Amino acid sequence: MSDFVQIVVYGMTVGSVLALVALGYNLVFATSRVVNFAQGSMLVVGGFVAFAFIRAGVPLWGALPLATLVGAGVGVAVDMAAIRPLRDFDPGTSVGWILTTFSASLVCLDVVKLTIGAEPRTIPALAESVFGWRGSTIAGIPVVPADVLIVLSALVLMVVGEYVQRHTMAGRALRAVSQDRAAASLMGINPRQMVMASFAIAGALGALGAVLLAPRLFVKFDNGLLLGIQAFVAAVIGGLGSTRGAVLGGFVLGFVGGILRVMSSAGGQYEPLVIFVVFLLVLVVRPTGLLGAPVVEKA
Amino acid sequence: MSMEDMDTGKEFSRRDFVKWAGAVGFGSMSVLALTACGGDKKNDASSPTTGAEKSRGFTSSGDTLKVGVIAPFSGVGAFIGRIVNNSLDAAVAQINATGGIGGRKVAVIKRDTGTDPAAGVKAYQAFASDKSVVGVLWCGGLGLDESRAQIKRDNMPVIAVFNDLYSAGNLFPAVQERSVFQILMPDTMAFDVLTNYAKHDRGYSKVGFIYDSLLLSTAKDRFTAAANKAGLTIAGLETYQLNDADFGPQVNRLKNAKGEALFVWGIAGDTAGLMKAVDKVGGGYVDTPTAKGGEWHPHVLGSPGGTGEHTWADLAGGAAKIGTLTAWHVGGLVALPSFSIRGWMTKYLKKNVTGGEESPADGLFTLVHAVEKAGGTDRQKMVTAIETMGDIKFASLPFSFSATRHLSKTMDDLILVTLEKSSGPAKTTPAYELGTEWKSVFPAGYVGPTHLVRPTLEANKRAHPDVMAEVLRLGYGTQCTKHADGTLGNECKIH
Repeated sequence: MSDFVQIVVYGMTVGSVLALVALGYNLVFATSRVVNFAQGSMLVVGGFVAFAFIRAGVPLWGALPLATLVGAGVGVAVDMAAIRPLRDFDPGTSVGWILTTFSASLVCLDVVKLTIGAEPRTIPALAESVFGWRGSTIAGIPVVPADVLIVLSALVLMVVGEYVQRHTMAGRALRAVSQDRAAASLMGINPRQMVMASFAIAGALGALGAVLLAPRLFVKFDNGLLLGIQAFVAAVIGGLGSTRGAVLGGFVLGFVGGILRVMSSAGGQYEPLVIFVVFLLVLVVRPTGLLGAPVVEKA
Repeated sequence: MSMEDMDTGKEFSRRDFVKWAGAVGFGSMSVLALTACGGDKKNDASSPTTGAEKSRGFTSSGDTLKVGVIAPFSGVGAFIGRIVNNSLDAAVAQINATGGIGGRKVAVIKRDTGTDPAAGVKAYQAFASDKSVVGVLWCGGLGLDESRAQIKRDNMPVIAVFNDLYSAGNLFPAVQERSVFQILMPDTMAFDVLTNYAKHDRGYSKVGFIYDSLLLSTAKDRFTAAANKAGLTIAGLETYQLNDADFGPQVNRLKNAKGEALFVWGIAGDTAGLMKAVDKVGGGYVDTPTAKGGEWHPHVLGSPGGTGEHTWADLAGGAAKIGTLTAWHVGGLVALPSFSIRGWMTKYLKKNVTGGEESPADGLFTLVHAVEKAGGTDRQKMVTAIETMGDIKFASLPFSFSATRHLSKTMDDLILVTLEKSSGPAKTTPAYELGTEWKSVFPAGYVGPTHLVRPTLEANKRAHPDVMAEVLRLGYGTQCTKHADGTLGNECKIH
């Protein structure tokens, strides 16, 4: 029983951590067909900006929206610096965006380094207690409010994202740009604005994710690269462009990691191997990922 | 931006841990590799070194003695780069301000390895083909293992400042590369001093171990050997991976195994996360009697790159317990007034020492002093000069090499450092006070490791009687329990 609970707790929390980052990748990919390799840096920028506000005396609940706003602004800046100058391009054949988004990532990190610092930092948990509940032990496995908050945030963001995309004008416009940029333009949608909006939301998500993850992973530069790559794998497994896929991909990786670690004290060593086997199997069986929609080529 | 201008990372550590990058295979795609390629192009050229280039006199290398520096100035090892920058900037300023070496100025050429071993190899090749470079400081950068064969061919004087060749059996005379010397305290020695302390001083018999299997893959074998040698029973052997988000399964098993002490081998951020996980299950360390009791409250002994610096404690907050230990070396007591590096950093850089800055500076002085002693930059003569120059005193402690010992550290150089907080010492019976440095050096609110004087005092006195006399006279370090006659005892339950 203890092992089962441990796997569930590990899978849900770590999976949600990855899902929060993967959601940003998916949003940008959904509108632009570009994988924003600066998304990991958004996590670093958001975390350090939140830390800077808190250091300046802003309460955490004030620092969070401020950092989210700055994250959105940085997302827009990445779009303007890394994507717009490429003008109209086919992401499938012109891969300049790989270099430009990488470069934007480097610039973001250097700006943070020069303005806030590079030393790992900690920021308080958003919730140390919920209505007096400060944590419980289930079959010997501790669960605390910060863990629950991470899981709930990933699920809520997934539901909200799905709802916005399917049931609002803005969401439909985003999907229209994703499906056929030229046709969307003819319908009066400005594809560039839609792409910019997706970068902004992805930047905001990065900041939100950074604050939620801080109790576990702190605010540090390693998070950008290491979590960024893991989350990218999660996004691809789930299906790039799919909001539900991002969360599912995160949970797949989380549960794989949890099972391996509970099975064996050396289980973590085999995690990359197993994950990439899963990754390959998913791509062989479903090249668009578990929940990804196939791209329909227009005649 | 030139590599000389790079100033990245802040926190203090000193391991060649960035090997993880090679393990996860980021090298070819990493943006960090792009940074590594952004250096001075004229020095990036790769060409074999000719025999003619190996033999040079003073006149051929111009007016400045140049030393190549290979370090991670970007990526997860960037904090090493920060230490290297501070140390060498201060050391170069001091040497040049005092007349240089034989009237010639000293300069360093820094190259970033990022997370790409190939960048280290390339940087070395560029240095080897540059006639003005007299030697290389390998400061934790990747690519040293891959360059060993070429170093042997070139006979290039290389100081492994933050790379541990000794523990892997890859330092002369165990291998043929006679021109390579090591300043870094080896991991094997750190394990030996910690396991001995756990067994013979604290009286623990069962110890757990958890390590970063990606970063420090050899730690398990080294720990197991040291634990067996000390007569300790291993209660749980666990792994984690760099930047893991959850340690629940491992901590659960370690708790069930009920080790009285827990060895944690990894870097600061992960160590902090792990300690929070230990605290979450109610396993925080209290003192030795509690650690030996029925509940699981292990005494934590960490790696120098993890609990040997303040960052982990800053991140872990209340989960970082006073009494957490690691191994260090006497030369690392950078707060001591008689150690020069602290004054140089204040004078030239207006910065405080954080620890570790003594090593790159000492490595630099070894190389330029070898030029002076050899009467030129002939590599063979420089290597012989390093082997025969006797005690070298520069940034902190005197140290030496010999024809049969290319490692500057001995077991008598090792010390233990224990976590303390400026909020005050732990409540113990008998009570103890924090050392002089907590009043005169550390800033208010500081939390970090400090010298635990008693356990290694006799060995340290053998190696460095003057320094230890200074420590005792000025009241540096944690000296619990101090008897009326001045001797130190182990009655203090937390230490």
